[in-house]
Amino acid sequence: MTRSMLAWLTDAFGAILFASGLALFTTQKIQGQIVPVTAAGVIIVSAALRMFAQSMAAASGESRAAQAKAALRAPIVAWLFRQPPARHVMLGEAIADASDRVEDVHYYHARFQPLRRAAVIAPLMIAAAAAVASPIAAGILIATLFPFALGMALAGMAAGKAGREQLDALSRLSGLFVDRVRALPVILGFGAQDRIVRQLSHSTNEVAERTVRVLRVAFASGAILEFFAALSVALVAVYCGFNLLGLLPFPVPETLTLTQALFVLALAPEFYLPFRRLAAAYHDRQIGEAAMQRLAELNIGPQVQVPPPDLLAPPMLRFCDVVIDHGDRQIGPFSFDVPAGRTTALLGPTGIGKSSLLHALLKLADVASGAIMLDGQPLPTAGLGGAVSWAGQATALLPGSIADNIALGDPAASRSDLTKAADLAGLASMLADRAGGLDAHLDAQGGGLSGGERRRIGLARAALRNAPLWLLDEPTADLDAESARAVMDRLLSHARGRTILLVTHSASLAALCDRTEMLA
Amino acid sequence: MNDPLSLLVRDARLPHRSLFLQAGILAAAASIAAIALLALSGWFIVRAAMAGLAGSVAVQSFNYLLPSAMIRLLAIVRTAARYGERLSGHQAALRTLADLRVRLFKSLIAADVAATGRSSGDSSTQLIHDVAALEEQMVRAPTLAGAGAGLALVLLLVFMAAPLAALIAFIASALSMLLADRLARSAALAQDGAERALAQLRRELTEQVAAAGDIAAYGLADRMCERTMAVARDGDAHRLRLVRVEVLINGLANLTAAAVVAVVLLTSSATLPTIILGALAAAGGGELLATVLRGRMVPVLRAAGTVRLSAIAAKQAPPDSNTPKTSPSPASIILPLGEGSVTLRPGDRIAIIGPSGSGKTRLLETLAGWRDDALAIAIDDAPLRRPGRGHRGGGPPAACRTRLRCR
Repeated sequence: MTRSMLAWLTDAFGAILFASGLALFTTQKIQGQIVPVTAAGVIIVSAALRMFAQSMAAASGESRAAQAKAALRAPIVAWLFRQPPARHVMLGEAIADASDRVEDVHYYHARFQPLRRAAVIAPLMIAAAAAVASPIAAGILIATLFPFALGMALAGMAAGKAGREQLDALSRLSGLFVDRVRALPVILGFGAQDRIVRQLSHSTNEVAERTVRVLRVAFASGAILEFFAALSVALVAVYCGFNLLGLLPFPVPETLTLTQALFVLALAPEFYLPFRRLAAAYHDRQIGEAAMQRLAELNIGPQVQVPPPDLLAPPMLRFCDVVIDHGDRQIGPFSFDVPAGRTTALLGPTGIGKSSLLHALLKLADVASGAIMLDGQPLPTAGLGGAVSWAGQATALLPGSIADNIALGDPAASRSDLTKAADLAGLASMLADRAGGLDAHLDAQGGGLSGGERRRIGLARAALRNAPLWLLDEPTADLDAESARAVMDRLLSHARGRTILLVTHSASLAALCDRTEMLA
Repeated sequence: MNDPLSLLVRDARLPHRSLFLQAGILAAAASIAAIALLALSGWFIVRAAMAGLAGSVAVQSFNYLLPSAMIRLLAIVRTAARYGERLSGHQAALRTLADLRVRLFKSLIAADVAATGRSSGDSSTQLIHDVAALEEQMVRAPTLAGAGAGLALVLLLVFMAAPLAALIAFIASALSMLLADRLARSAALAQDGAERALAQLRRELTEQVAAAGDIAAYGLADRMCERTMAVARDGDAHRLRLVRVEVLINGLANLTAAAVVAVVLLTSSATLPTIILGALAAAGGGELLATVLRGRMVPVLRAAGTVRLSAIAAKQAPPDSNTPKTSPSPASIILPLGEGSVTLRPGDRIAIIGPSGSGKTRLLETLAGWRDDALAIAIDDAPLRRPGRGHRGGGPPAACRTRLRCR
């Protein structure tokens, strides 16, 4: 039994307690007690108990939802980090999936699921309590369930379809509006505003009318629920009244007292309450299920954890007819060598695929054909992630100090190593002006950092690790010419003897390298 | 309530007033029937029991057929009225919203063309969300009015049983509304926090994905993932606070109802059937009070959206058409191309070629008047300049000057 289930059953128990309080009152009144304090006390306690139960149900529902979302989100986020950064459009959608779509399942788990389970047991609990006072009244409550279930099944088929159509119709209505808003420049360019306003007015009215027709059916299941909720109260009231009068047209094995009759009557509205709560959460279900279906279609396989490859000595790289697949287009083929222990600059016009070749070494770009060889062997299937010094066009930052962020390159580094790496990247002079220096705190978006500072943090990270292979993607893009030269001079001499492959547009940086490869 | 949005909403509602009224009346009928059903049932049972105990003469003199028929009738009225209310309420809201969307669209056209013309998908999505939230409020309005009518009946029945309890019920309801209004503000803060966390999640993910190279190279996936989950947990903490407020408001309503029931039982000097009538009416009133309290919370939660819509609604259409007035066929158009410029005469055909990002689209859009970049375009020797706007860039970008060539 889950906590939320327990909470909803406690809520049903509160309803039973209220009915008991009312029944107790009539007993006390009939016995001639003037001030029925106990009965009043029981009624207050029942309300407090229900408030506590509902609060518990909400809290446990929220924690269930948080857990479910975390379980759903973590693999998507991990998968996102393994995707080629060049595929912007696809990534934009996937980011919306990992943020907004995952949130869409919140109330499915927080409200709908617990209520669905509670709707099975809570009514039976109410009926069982009613049976203690009057088995026949309890029988009446349960008997209404059969036509109710039949009606819901019939209406459910129509209403389920109508409900989906309702969602469609509503989204058409707003979709039309969105479309015209987005096309506003074109509309204005052609001076068509009057015509479009007339058309929009006609279409939105038409869609509104269609939606109303759909709603007639969609609300049917709600009406059936409302009808049986009201009917169960009326039937129990009429049965109890005629039983007390002794005027029932058929013989029954029980003779009720007022106390018993009032107890059962007070329980009657509670019998359908769980179903009414569930019906109110129906929208949560539709949204949640649509989101879960969409997320399932992402089809994220299990992540295979591979230990990072060992690079013991500066390697030699060979690109043989490598074609990069960007999904919508392919680039290449590229063939060139990166000799061991040397610095190679990769040049070429924007968009030719230089960055993608670097990313391919980390398996962050798809190689459609050709091969990348590492010291004559094929590249490890998981790529060289974890084994290289890298500085890319964007620097990943975590909340923490600047030193913490540099230390991501080598968690075991000492403070003096960190200071040295920061100096190499030219951070020292920038940090001199900043309160806290290396220990200045950064938020996750690197708030307050300039583009040059971010870039230097990335370079300091690469210097700190000083792996046998360095991969640098436009390392000087955000730096002015003078500091670019100074930083790269220091870094290249620090990394002397390592294999360095760097992508650049800067002729002066290329001049510092041992060799250049021009991509065309 | 003279802000532009209320005026716009009022105008859009006007043709559908009778439908809103119908929905309100049906909602009132549904609430009243729900309260009366339970209260009358209680009264009937107690009367029946008293007649049954008093013997067959009393049973004969008790007109049991009328109340028992009423009970069945109320069950049917409650169902039919609720269905009718939902339908006509939605009908009224949907028709009004169809009108309102058109009116907002007109305001958008009147608004700064350049600004809206380039509005991203984000801002139009925001607009849709805000209008949808307005729709939700509009659908709820008749239900709220109906719940108010139901509460009036509750007060009346409680007054019949115990006048003191009715007074307490009135004061307690008013106090709970004041308290709910205060709670609504903290709920709005929590909701705002949750929305902010989600926006931050989106922003951070976008940055982290761009830095996937760093993450792969330094094996940061686990830590970055943990960071993302921490932001998500922060959002969940805000949501929990929001839900706690909602539960508290519900509980407040039910506790108020229970207190009134208790006071009825303790202080009533009426006959037993009347006491039960009042007590059961008060018990049913809890749900209605909860509806009213939640309804009061919605505008506070949607305040930000209302302000955004109001800003759009404030934009008035200028007296004449807002398309720029130019002569139908200009004698010359001077376009900045390459280092210099080129002059177009009527009948000229020109192809503009250049690498992506060099400003081809920008030139066309500026010429069409969709954006106001400070490009040196002149039509009939008069510089193309939208009046009353500052320059955003400082002239065409270097790339535009050097790489756009006219062949």
